[in-house]
Amino acid sequence: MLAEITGSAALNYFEMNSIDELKSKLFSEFPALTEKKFSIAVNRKIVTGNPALNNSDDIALLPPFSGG
Amino acid sequence: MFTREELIYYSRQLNLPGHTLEIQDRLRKSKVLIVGIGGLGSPAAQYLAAAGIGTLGLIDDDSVQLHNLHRQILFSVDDIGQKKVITAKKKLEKLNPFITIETKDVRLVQSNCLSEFQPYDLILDCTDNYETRYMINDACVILNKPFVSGALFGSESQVAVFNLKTEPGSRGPTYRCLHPEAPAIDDRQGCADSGIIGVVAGQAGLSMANEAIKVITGIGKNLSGYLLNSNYRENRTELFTLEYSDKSFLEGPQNEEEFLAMDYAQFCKRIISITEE
Repeated sequence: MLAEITGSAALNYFEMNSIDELKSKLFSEFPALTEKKFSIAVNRKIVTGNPALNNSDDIALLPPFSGG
Repeated sequence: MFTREELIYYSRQLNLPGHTLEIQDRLRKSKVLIVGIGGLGSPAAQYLAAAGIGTLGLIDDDSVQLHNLHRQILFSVDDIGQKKVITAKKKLEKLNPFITIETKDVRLVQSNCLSEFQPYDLILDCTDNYETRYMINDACVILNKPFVSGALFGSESQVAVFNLKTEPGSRGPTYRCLHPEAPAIDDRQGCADSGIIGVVAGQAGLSMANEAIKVITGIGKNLSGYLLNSNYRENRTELFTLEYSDKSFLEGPQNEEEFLAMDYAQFCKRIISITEE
């Protein structure tokens, strides 16, 4: 769903120290993302707030689905 | 206990390690309500009936349409124009004559939600819009009932078990813990908008039925505290962990009065648009 905006399901970023920093970068690169709601998972754990990030952390953006 | 015929009917699952007569009796004594007999709900209903859920409730006010059949394979061309719940009941009773099917040919809304849910042990959210999903979550929280949530987008699905209390003093996360904020207006994506193929809906619906069986029997590891994201085109399955959040929980209504006062359309900033399922 979000890959339609970013052009790819997987992206790599370097030297992102926190989730807020990553979101800032993503929103400036893909402004359409700012209108989307999604949860964020770090290394397969859904997180809240602004946790710190480490090298080779795996981040997933999880928008809600509604189809049934 | 079970009749000789029932024992033959369930014989293959009774051969599974751990699946004793006592476990089968738990299934028989359980009451499960499926909200939405569509792409997720109709396969879930078939397999829950077959597994021996003693009382299976079906709630949906739609009629069968031609474009349902590619994924809602409970129905056939002879059923077009018939009410889904009435048709489903006839077919499911033929599939498993040992259980009770209860039908509600109504739309689930705030004014009937709590009373419709009350008699059941577990709810399956097989609906197709965000307003109803938040409403189902809030009703289950107020009534203290767990529910299995499933949702589709294109070739992907999300499945989870919400509001399950396993140990005293602990609770599993709710839908609001996963999605505290309602999605943007243009993210309302039903099956007609994003497209779907039957096998994807079927697999997700069966995953939901599987979760219901695990919750009721207590066998295996269910998806409480998890979100299972599956991409059926890419053969990619990801299991995310999810925690209960007090903050998100408290944003929902805490009692019946607050529940009835909620404006879910406003919460989801819904625009009125005519889309076919």
